[in-house]
Amino acid sequence: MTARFILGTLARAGGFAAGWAVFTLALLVATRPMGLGPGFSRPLPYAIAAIIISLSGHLIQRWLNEGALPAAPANQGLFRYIYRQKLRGLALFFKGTAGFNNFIFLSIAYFIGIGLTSLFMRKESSGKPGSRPAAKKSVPAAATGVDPTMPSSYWRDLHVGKQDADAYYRPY
Amino acid sequence: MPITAPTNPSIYILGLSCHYHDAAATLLKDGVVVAAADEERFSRLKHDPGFPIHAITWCLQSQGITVADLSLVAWYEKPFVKFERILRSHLENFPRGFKTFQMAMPSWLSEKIRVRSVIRKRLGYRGDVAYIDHHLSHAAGAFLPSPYREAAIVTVDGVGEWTTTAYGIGRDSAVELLKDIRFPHSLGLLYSSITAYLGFTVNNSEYKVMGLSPYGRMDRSAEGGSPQAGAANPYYAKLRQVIDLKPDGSYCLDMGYFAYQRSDRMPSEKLCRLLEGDIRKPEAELLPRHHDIAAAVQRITEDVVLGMLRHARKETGCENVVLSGGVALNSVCNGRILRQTGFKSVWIQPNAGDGGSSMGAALQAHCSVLAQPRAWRLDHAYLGPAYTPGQVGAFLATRNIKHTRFPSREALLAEAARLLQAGRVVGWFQGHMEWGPRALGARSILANPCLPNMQAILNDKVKHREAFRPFAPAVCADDAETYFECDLPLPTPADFMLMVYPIRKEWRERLPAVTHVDGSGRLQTVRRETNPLYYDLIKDFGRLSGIPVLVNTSFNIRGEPIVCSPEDAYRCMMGTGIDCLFLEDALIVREDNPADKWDADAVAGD
Repeated sequence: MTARFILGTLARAGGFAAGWAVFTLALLVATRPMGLGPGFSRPLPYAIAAIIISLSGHLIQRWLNEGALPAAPANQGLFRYIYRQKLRGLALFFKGTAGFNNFIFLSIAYFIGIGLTSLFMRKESSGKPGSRPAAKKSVPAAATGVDPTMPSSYWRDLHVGKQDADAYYRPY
Repeated sequence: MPITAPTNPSIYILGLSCHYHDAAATLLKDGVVVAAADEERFSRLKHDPGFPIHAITWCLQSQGITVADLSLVAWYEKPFVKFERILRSHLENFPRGFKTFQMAMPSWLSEKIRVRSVIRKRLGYRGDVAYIDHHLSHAAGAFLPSPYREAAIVTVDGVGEWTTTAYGIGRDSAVELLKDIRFPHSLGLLYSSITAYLGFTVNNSEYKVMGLSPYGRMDRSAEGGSPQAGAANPYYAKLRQVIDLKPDGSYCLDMGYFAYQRSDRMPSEKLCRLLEGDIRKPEAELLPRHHDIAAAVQRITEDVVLGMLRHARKETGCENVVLSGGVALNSVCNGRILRQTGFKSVWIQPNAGDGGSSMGAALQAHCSVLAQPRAWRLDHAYLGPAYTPGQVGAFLATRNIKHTRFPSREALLAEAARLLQAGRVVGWFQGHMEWGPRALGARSILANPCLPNMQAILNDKVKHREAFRPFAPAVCADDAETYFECDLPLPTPADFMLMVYPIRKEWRERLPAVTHVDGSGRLQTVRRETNPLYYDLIKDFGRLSGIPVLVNTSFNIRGEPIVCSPEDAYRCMMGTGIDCLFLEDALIVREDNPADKWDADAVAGD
């Protein structure tokens, strides 16, 4: 059992190293046209950048409470187990890089897409009475008595029932 | 799955719900539900939100069909509308929603918004997909399987697309929702926020808050919202500040007390200040103030639900009501409906949460998209997989498990009743698995409720759960009135363990294992026409003990879903303190198979 565990750990480390090497090479190739970095003669800075990206991605995923990779089933043959562990190591490296990339792209989308739209929306709605977002409304306590500015009911008309057949085939 | 030309002239509709919690699949054949199951039972992940591939595979295999035989797939919500709500929330809460945006978007962009391509990729299905609004799926799942031709419909859950609460009316094959309340104002999310505040897990442990509530101080006879109601419990008045409740049952939350619309936590700092303390850590002791908070939120939930039911009664003029959504699983509240709302009859489907929406979506697609009449009513919850004695025999032989097989049904019942009377904890695996979160006598752990130490035995040896949580009693429908102060005629939801009633005072001391601190019990009524073996077992036990009532609790290891297969059941028994297992017609005794024992405590979750 111990030997199996050691072999599995080595395979996983090998998979991780393979992912690291592939990503380092990808960084090298991708940055050449831009003239970034020292080039093929000194791959170490690229390797450092690759591992920083992957580890940062893991830290981001931890911050986002994202789950770990699912555990590999225990009841499988030795060679299959080692192969699975190698793939697991590979996935571990690229999970980090994917997390990092997602974070960068989604941050851009959030601050430019959501942020600018939100600012425009607030600017447009400022000055219009009753146009504050519902999430920021403060509701007076029931215990404080009747507030004449509050509606008498919070029910809204809906009338959703049988629709045209086409409406059911639309995801919106 | 292989794609072949359709070979079956019947109309098959597959209803699906997934991606958030409690993924499930339902298969309709010519309008009749022929198979329905939650994904968690197969994947063994509690509340599994993933695409229900195992449940779908079983549904199709149970009917001997392939994906190519499906006429339609019905999805339980409109994904683009939900996505719009999420983007809108982020717009309104910018920049505070940065983290939740980062958390939500990868899964949204990769699969949640691309339902059609996910179905195509995972199933190989090339036909039409119908998208049914989330609360319409809930409403259809409540009304279309019900016994009524006309009924008011009330749906209350966390949130669907925008709607969190709605009411409407169902007539024959038509379901219409008339009014709604929208996100972020949500009774379900209020309850979940307090669940989180009390240190329990959201979308999993709301029932623990319900179980904790009777320990809190509350004048339960006082009218909701009255000063008397909160006189004994200061948290009731405090929590009433959080919600503005109108006489028509509509409500609005003060969102300053909540953070769920902008972050990954539910209660805000303001709510913590209001409740005079931080969020309880899961391992921390439950204090009397936690009991009071649970009692207060439970009482407010009842105020709101009963208020909106009274309003729905007045607006629709219906005498019958059906409920759906996660809040409809609040059995304490359900037990008050017929006494306090004016409705004469109530029906709730056994899987009232999101899992049941797969059934609602499929039935709505049948009635509205394909314009077919209603063809089915749900009389029992046994819609999941079953295993023949042959399959069980093969399993026992393969694993070389020592067992005894009974030549007759009577012999099996006699032995089961004898073991229960002797104080043994019995695993009961019989017939088709239940649909929904409750074990209803197909995948149950049974015990003698008359023994004073049975609750402790079950908690110590088997369930390892919080001491404040009571066990449920199972009683034959014709005996229910003897032991419970229940509504008459007995509402069908009691068959699905969805009603809590007071146990009659004279029986409380004689049924210590199932009597909660306030004298109530979440009973399951059993009818011979729907589960004759279970019914006869309770009767046989009654002949030995003098009281035909059993403890019925779910057959699972803590933190795992209820067992599905013989393998799951055997593993559960050998890892816990269950003494013996009736696996169809075979009896397995734990002590006879010592080599297979293991300690389930090591893997027990929440």
